Amino acid sequence: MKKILKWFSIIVVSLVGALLVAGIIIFRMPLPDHEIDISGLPLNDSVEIIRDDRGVPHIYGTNVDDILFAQGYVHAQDRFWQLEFWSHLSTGRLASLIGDPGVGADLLFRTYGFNRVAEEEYEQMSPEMKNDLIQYTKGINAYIKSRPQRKLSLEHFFLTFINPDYVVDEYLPYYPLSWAKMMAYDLNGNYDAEIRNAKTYGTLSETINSLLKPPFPQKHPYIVEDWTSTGTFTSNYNFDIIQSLFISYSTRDLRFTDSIGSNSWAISGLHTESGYPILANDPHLSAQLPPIWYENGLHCFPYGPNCNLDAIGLSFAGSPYVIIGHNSSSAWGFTNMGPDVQDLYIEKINPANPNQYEVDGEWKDMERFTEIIYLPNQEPIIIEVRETHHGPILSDRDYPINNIEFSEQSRIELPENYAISLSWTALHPGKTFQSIRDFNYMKNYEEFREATKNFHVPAQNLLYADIDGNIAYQSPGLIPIRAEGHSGQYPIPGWDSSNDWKGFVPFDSLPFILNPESGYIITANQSIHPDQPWLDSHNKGYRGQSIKRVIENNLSEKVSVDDVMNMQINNYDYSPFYILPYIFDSVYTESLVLNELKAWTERETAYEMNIDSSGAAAWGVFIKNLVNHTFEELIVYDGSGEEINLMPGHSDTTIEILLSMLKDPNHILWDYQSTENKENLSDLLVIVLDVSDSEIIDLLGDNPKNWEWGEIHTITYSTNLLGQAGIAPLTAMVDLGPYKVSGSANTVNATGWSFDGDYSIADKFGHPSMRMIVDLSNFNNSKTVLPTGQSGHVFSKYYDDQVDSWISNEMFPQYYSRELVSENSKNVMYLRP
Amino acid sequence: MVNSKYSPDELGIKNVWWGKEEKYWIEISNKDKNEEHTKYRGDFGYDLRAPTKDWSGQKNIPMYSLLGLVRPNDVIFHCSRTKGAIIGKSVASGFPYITQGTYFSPQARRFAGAPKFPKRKIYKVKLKKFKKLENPLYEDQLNTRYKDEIIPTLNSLYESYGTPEGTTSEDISGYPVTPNIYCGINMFYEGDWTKRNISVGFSPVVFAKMPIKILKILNLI
Repeated sequence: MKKILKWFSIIVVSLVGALLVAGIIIFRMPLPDHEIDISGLPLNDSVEIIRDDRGVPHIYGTNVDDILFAQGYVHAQDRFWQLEFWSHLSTGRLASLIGDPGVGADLLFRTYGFNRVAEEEYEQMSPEMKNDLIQYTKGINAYIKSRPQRKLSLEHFFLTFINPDYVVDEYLPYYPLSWAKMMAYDLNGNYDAEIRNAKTYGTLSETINSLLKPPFPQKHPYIVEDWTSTGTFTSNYNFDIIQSLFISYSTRDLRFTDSIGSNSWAISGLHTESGYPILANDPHLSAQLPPIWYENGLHCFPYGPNCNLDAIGLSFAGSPYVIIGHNSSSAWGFTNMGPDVQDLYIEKINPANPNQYEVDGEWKDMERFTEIIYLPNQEPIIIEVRETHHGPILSDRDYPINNIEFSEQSRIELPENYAISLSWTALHPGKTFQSIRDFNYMKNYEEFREATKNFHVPAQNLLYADIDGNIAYQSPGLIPIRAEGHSGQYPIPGWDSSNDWKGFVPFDSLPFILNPESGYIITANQSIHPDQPWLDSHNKGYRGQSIKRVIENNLSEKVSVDDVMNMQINNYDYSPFYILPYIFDSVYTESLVLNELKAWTERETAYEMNIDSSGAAAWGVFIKNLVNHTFEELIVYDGSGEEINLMPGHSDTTIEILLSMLKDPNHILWDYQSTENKENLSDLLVIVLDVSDSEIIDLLGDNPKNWEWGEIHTITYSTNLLGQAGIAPLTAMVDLGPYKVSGSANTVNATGWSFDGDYSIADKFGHPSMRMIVDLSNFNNSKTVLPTGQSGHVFSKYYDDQVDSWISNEMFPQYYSRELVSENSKNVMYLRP
Repeated sequence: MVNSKYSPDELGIKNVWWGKEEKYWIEISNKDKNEEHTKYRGDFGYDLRAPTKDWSGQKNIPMYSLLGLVRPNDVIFHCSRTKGAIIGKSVASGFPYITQGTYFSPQARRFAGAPKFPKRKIYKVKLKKFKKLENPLYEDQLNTRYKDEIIPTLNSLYESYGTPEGTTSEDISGYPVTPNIYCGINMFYEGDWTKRNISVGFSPVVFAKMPIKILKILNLI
């Protein structure tokens, strides 16, 4: 018996050992060789790629074609699955990669026609741009050819089992352009709000309606204080708001984009230790693994008139150039501008011919495209996409609009035969990549301003600083000029051509500023200027005000890069600062949360959403419950009688709404209207504090000394296939977290969380997707950090090597000079002709 | 006493015996029985709905209006009548509120001639964090495994807190109301009640409290 047991144990141990070894082999298989030296590539000259201690590749070539080829190659080495996934997603081919779960996205993006617009955009590009895209994609394709498909990524290894017929396609030059459309989709969408507005038209009283539209607080800074509007675009202001349910702020803030935003600021040499500008940027995008950004340096070596690219910064895997970063003279950064650039049109359809629509009393033929969605081992799905002169017909799909349901639900008048089309600036061929290319080469402010003219979609606040001491800002983008009387907030009749867009706001009428007197420029998605030629921004400037506060606090002495680093993770939250005095004056009840909030406001760290703060934990729980219980009865009904809850999201707009209500202890929304009693602010607060006490005791115990914000405010990074496959051991191996994090939605260190979930950072919310500080006095003093790491390969040492630093905000030097790069070299590889 | 949004008086609920720590409830429903139920009432874990009044619009129905006492972060166990088991649990994401909605009640249709899926005033509680139980708790197990512990515990609860006053069987057309809404697990007399042949099972109501002591016996918390 003992012998049998012994042999059984040996067999079990051997099997486990063999599985472990096999697992390690499989997980290590896709790791790229960062020290290869390969010849025979389609290059003009040899390219040297030095990877530093964070795996950041610094690419040195004698000509730009070769540098871009190498950039494509290294992107494929470190992030192949990511660029494969993104290119499939944005061109509507996801189902061919992952099967059925990709069909919904494919139907939507094929209907938008990202693939069609990107191809058209590509055809219209300058020969230089086309050539750059071709060289870059050649690099990706060379890597694809260099190894078996199963070794490209861990995901590709698993694909050999779940989608065995899948063959990695050649990467095409227009794919980066379709990815830019995806970014526009992520950052500039509001048509779903138009659908909802149509369902709820006229259902709110004027009192509530105006309550939900707080103006931009005058105490908060605009981006541009000193600028004179050169155009009047009354159509973008002049519309009937009496009956309207929402304007743009609420369509964003009350729904899903609360915390998608970004920070950037530039401080001029007037205020810095060095006497030269410092530029900081941290875009708040969804938490992804690997991160959305990839850091790289693109260097002509030797640098001269024939080869003058010398840029470093953050890129997207699958797209060429540096997207945000600096070259040898200038630095640039982005935050989202957020104008409304989507409109829905109701098209009258010819009852005798469903492919004709009416324009000014005449029937016009729609354009029609056949799109084929391929699926593994299944018949392909063949759809027809129809387009009017406004754009694609969305109502041909079940999502986002089902025609039959919409007829029942809508509260606006609809023709008997109708379809709904989408007009969207992103569906016009644009030149944003030309603009990005020009940023990589620009030498001065004039070239920056010229380059921004082509930055069409998605419209971004473009921030600039240079070694001549200039700091500057420019609003770019295609901003529609609407027909008079139209807000862009409801679907409007498409059969009357006078409702069509009248063109786009001319570039010269867009706000800009050069070297403001204050010595700094702040962009944090807030309103740009009171006279900006589009509707007021959704953001109420809380982060902008927080940035102003930390800058002003530092101005008594000269500002250093380290000071700016501390500014980026500042956790001061104006929301409790504004709200709590009203609360303390309005309620007297025994409450652990209330006591802790009072104690918090008297500490040195008052209003700071620090990771170990008990006050921050109390505030988080309190504000969530306050908002939920104040607005849970703010319900309207669509035309079919279905409930639509207007519960506000986590944004500074919501705080402004509350502030307005707090001035009136008997405001109608403090009352639970469905109860017999009439509650006022104090009554509601008693209940909110009671519920908050119960919740925080459940979460963190009944001793406030043990409460820590980071215990409930966490972030988890999940990969988009293996991490979400539902196989727990695999998820545990590839996913990262949860990690405790500081900050909140309205702090400079913007780590958004939802009022309708727990306190963790859900992937729909933004977080600083990278942090970058550029020192224009000495580029080698510049710093960056990514949320996780450079590599998309789970067994790479660069997969998660930056996590702890991102959490604690230790940033890394961004090596720029060749000498510094060489000193910190970890691996060198060569690509040769 | 618990701070709830609606007062027990306005809900017609007598003898609320529980405090804050008693935050557990049970939904007992056949909403997963067929497609119609799923379409109109949502799957388990999405929300809880109950009419605010009977069809006359006048009277509270305690097993429905009990929903008005749910508080945010209370835990709701879901019992599927079609499966005869507690199959999962959720967390209340907010207070109940009154809205227009559909609520399909077999009794209402049978006794009040209600239309099939009418819109009426309902209490609604949104739920979050639905989690299926790895091992559903079947009604059979209540008797085979837990009966001996459940019966004295229920008796002691009734002894300590008494049974509610003022509710009668007429509210739900023949089913005994008292004390079913105060615990989702009830005692039933089998056959000749004078022989005291007692079994335990899920309460015949659609929504009820679940005392901590009972949940501990059932290893559900």
